[in-house]
Amino acid sequence: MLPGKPVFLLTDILVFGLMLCIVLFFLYAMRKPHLREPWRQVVRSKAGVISMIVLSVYVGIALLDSVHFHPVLENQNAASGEVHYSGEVISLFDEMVSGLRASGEKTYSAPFAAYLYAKETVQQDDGTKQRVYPRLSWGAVHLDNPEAQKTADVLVLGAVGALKGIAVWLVLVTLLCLVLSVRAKRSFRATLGILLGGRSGVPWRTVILTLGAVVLVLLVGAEWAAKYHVLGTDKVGEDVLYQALKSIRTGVVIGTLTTLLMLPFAVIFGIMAGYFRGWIDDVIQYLYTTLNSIPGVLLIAAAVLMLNVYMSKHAEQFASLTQRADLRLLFLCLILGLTSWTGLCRLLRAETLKLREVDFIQAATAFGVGRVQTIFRHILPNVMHIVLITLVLDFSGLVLAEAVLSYINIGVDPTMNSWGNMINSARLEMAREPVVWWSLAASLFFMFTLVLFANLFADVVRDALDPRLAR
Amino acid sequence: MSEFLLQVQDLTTVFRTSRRTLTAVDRISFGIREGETFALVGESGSGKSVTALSVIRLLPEAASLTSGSIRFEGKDLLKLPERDMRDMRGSGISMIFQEPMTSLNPVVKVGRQISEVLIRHRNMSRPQARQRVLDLLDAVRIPRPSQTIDMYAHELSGGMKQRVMIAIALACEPRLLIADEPTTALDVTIQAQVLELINDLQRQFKMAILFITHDLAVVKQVADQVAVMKDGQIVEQSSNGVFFSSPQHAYSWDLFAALPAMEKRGKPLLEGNSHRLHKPVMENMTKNDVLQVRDLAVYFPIRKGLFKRTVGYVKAVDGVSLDIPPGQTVALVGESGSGKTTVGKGILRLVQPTMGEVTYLGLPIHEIGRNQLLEQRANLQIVFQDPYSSMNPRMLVGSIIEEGIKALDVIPDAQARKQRVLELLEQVGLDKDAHLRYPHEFSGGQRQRICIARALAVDPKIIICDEPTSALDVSVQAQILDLLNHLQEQYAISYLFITHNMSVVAYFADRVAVMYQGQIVEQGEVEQVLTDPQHEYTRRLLSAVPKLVPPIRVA
Repeated sequence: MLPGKPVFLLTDILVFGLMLCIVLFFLYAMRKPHLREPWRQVVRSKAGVISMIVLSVYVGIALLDSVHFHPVLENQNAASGEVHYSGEVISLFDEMVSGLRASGEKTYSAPFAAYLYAKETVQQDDGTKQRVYPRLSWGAVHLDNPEAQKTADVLVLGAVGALKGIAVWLVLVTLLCLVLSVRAKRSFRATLGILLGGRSGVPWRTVILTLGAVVLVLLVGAEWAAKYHVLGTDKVGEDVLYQALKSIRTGVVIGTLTTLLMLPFAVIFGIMAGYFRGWIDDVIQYLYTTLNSIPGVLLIAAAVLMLNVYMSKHAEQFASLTQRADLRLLFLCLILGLTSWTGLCRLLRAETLKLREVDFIQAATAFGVGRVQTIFRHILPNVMHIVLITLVLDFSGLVLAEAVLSYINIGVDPTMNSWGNMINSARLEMAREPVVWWSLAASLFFMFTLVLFANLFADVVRDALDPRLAR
Repeated sequence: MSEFLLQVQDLTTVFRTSRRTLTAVDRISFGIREGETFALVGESGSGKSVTALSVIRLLPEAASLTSGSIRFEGKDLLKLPERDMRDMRGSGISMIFQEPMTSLNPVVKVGRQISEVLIRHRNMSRPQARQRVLDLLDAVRIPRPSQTIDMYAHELSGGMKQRVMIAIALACEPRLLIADEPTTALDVTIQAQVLELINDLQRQFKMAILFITHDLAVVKQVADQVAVMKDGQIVEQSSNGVFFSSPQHAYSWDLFAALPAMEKRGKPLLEGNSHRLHKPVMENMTKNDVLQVRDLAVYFPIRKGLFKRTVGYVKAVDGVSLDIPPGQTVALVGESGSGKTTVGKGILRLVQPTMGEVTYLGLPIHEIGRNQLLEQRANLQIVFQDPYSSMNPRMLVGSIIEEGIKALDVIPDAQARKQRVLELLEQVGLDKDAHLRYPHEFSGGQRQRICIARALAVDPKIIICDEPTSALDVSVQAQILDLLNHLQEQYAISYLFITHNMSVVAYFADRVAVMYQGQIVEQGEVEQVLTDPQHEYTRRLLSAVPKLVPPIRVA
């Protein structure tokens, strides 16, 4: 199935485990009306479906980028029958965009450029040396005379991409319409009328329009990216679009795994403190008050430095650079989680304190229901909305935190693609003359889009789940 | 100009949600003359509050007026621009709300909250306003106005807060005061004071009052004109005297019939419910009391400082003795904060009693161990006041009822257990398919039935009913009381009925104990205590209850 030997990185396993949990939760929630209702509300809001579509593109890329393997080496010794694998670890996503990955230039080049951004001394045919902007080795090589042809070529490629996009979009809309009309036992035409008239419960018209926009952007981008460096190249000539896309996984992993790792602490400690009161409450409260009073950045810096020392002393334990970077990423999630569980813990403690005095818990006590059962049956389901809201709200904060930490060099490994690392390197590029703006712009754009739609989604989820906002 | 100060014509208010449109007020018309008290009576959801909010134009966003006119002093309020309407609120029409606890801003001194209105509407300077506030506080009979003016809301009791609210409403001498259930959240003795105050102020300021309430006894006491609302419509409108002697509409009769009273003892409140002729005969049962409570005390420690040293105690219950005979109902009456709920919880050891004995059929409940207590949990059960918070919203009704049976292992077989749940639902008068639904799909009265079914599930000998009907409308209260009576007849269960409602006690209980500040000041047979109270507090309590003799229906 995979074009190579699979490698299971720790974060990959956790990310797919998390996906499995989410899928299982939704299957479970579909059967429980009180759980289904708020999610139905999410799906019924326009902001909800738009952000879900955009987020699923991000998550999809992150998931593809989480299937790692050693690729098969090109020139195999066919006679021996043995398959040789490269020592390098790449992902399914890398394989899909292999063109971008292999499109190295010498150094900086601007978006859609045909020439390098720096002058080089080139020996002319007549033997004289001249300082010129040389042609790129990959970008726009298909053009004979870039000055005259480039604009037209870009437009043509864009139009081709747009046409492909529209075709794909029409196919998608038709499929959606077919599925819906079969499910509602209505004629295709009637379903189409309802969808386009915006009279459906789920805002399908919004779904269709968003889908159209997303497909268009993806396919036009793909068309351009096959011939040009759409977002330019960086100092060592790597494609910036590729870097920004690879950074998606880092951001998504940090945003989700951190919360996942802190969740057990927060939930167990929070509910225990609130339910049992007394000395248990005191111990837990002192624990999180102490932890909260240590500056988070300091703790993270110390932990990351310690890990660095460990990794350089035990270099033999890591099969590849990728594994090393992955461990550092996981460790960063852990330490971010360790410093951030206190907020949710506090919330859960307060909610449990309130709940334990509520009549239905008292009634359970009057029936002699055990404490563990009371916690699992009565308290946990009634605080789950807080957990979910926190999870979604924290996501965007953590993506931004990664950028800040990588910027000051205590974030993810410098070899790993991340928006923080891109911004960090952009520090020097901004000081350069002429200025190189595309690295910074690309990372900011990709991060901004993710965070914006994550925030929109969080808003909708909170509105749907928060009982105090219930109508 | 018409004879009416406020004239409402064909008013219709609808609520639009994404799914449906709900007509809260449906083409109602009425008029209020100057200086008159017009009472709007109805059960919850009948549209009386929406009517008031429509008049003062403070409807929530989802609501809109679709037809009708509201004329106040000849002006059409619905055509008034919002600017002028703001001037009208407070100086022309003002309003007091049900919940004095949440109607005042907790971080602003009460004096400022009153003077705000004066400065806004009367252009007074601050010192002028302060003087006027002192006069107003004096007018609403707040003792020591010069101190109260600089207090915050939390430093005042519920009755005092409602007086402050009244002072704010009266600050600009409005022509019309809208009072939306102004005394519902208050204790009965405080209610009597506040009603008297409103009455006096009305005469003094010569204003009209639109009085909204669900309590017929209060209406009888305050109203000149009565209008009964049901499902957004006014079904009957007449003068006080006519209404309380010969109501016309069948719904009005139903309301009167549902009122519990001493005269109705031994009869079901609602027609069609089985007649309860006598108390169950306890021939094969011991005549001894099933539950004896001796000198029960529950103190809550007040802790202070870093190490949480106990610096004192709140004596919530302080030496209560009670006996509950088999198959009878003992009422525990008292105002809020008197400790009656804590007595109930102390008996069940939901809060640990500090001192005293609780004996169930000779067994000392107060000192038995965890396991033994678990065995006894089946015999002593509780029904709570708030049917909304007493069931886990995330559980199916079936599993809610089943929980006790399962936890106490009354019926080990799953199939038989399910059968029992269905039986119970039928007994409390609910559909069998209710067990597959969630609590939020039921109304308050239905939820209370589920709670009763849950308590019944483990065959208790005693059920502690903690104000089970005080969150319900009178007609629903009547259903629940009839149900409880019926169950008592059938299973000879004893009730400890905790309530603040004297007419429920008069109708429902066999014995009554009156609680005041953590102690029982008087107890005895209901007839004797209610007709010939011995203790000073009981007398005060009884005299504060508004009297209402329901009209007799002539066939």
